Amino acid sequence: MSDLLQVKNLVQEFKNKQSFIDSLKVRDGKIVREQKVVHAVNDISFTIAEGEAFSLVGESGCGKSTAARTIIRLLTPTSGEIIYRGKDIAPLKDTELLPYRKKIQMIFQDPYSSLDPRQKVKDILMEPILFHKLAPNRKAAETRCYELMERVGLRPEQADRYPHQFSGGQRQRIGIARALAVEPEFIIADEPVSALDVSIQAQILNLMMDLKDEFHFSYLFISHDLSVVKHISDRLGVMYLGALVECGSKQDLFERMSHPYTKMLLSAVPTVGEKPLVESMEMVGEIPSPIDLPSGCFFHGRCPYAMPICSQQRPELKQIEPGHYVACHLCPGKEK
Amino acid sequence: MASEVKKPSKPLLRRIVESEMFHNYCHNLPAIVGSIIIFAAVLIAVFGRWLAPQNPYDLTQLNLMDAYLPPAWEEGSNPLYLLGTDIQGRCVLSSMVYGSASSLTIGFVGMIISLVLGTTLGLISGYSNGRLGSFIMRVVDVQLSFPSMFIALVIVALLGRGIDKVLLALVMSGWVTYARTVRAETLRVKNMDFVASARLVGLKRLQIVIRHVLPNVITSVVVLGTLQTGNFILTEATLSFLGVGVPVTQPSLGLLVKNGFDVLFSGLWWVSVFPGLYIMLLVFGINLFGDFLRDELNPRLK
Repeated sequence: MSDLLQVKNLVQEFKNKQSFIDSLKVRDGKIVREQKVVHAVNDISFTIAEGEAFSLVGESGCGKSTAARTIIRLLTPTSGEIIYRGKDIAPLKDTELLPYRKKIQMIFQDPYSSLDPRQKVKDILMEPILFHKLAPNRKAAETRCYELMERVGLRPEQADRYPHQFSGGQRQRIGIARALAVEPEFIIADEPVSALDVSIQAQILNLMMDLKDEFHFSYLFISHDLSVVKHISDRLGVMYLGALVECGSKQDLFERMSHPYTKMLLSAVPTVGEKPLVESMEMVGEIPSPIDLPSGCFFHGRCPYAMPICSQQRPELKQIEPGHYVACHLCPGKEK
Repeated sequence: MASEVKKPSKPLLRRIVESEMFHNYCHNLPAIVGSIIIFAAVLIAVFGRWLAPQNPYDLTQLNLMDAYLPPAWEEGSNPLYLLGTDIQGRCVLSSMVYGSASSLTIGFVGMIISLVLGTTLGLISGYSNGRLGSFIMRVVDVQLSFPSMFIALVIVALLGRGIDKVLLALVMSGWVTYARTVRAETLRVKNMDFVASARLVGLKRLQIVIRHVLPNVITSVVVLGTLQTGNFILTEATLSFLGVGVPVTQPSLGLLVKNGFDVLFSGLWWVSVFPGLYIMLLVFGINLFGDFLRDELNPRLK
């Protein structure tokens, strides 16, 4: 399988909005201007192969959604490369991105804010078709829109309704249909089911996986829900405080997890009747502030195995077995 | 087959009649009263001059002997002049018909100009949110720190009387309300995912603002516009009453009140009171309808 998307050393920082006066600080008797910077994504690298479902998991606030929005270029990265089919799309301007808007699409988390309340379903679905001239005329676009609705499990008679007349699950189906409208090769799904109730979650996930088999696109899945992730992804990356701590196939991570943070996350998955995935490891402490990043390994403050080196040196992502990468001083890396 | 789906297209009138808003309207007495007042006032202003007993500004139709005739139900009246006459023998009712045209024109045209101007600047300020946006908001702040009546007086004092000058004065102080509201709404809307999704379609900023942001902020603007029309009519009446509004040749209701004010306490009350009552009724009707629109379109403002 060839690489579809390659993310290299992606960094996303935001300047904290502060008034000029607030940004002045006294340092050694001098007044200096210091701007606070939020380090949302700190140097992440991974690849997604053609036809693969890759997941980014992590606690809330670890920068997974920001990473997704940067990769799809709703945000411009501070530095790093986003190589899509051999072309770096990180520095492109909006107009230069147009051909990629047809190939990469997104499914949003909140089905309530992702649909324009003043647009009919028909218009929501026809907008991308007409904009990219994917149909010869309005009539053909309309037909295409009805097909899309049927494909995602909505009745075409509902095309003239407004989003508020649908339930959350149905709205998410509309969002999926909109992403499908341009026949994308790659779909980024930002927590597509976390706003839905559990009975609907499975339906939507199954729909997404059926569509993947039918249209052969790749997924980047963003989720905090490990049971969801286990169900749908081929490979996954675990994020902590904007950095990737472990990355590998589903088997690597669920059976031979190596990073203490991954273990902590997995031990937090509730199980009924079965043996838990890992021995119980209590979550200690809270995720540190992305404004003042900890020194060394970002996780050392909460890690039960922290060593002196952990607070001094940031561990690099090392390969411990083919395709399985871990960023931890405890895990000795193997040369390729 | 998807292509065989019949499009349930209903005629516009039927859609309006079946809408929830129309249903609420039918059960809202104040709204019905308000809209009837507005509708009647507009009809009178547009077509009333052909039905009015006389053209009060055609000197050949005036007779000074008819000056200060009381309303028709009082003693010594002329039944031709239903609401009496003023100092020059002008029929008060006819003057009101002609004057309401000026008042309504100023109210509606002023509202539309300031709505368009304020909404545009509010959208720019909210969506770009850069230096330009901050600049526009600082102008709004400065503008709001002046009493609107003061601005109006200064403009009219500098430029002289005239409907166009009154309009300028009203717009100068009126656009800021829209700019503020629209900016706040735009800031809220632009962070919603459907705007991100429109960007992912590839739409340009202007297209996004017009297709996705504007339709979502327009309802609060409509509400403001209705209520402001009433305010504008009142402000114009005040300016005219103070003698700095419309010219004597194009009188408005406010100027009619002023014309009769000198003789108000000499027993010749009808010259001032009828135009005054008409202003009150008009603004009352507009506000009733505006309140209905506010409740319907923008429940958060309740």
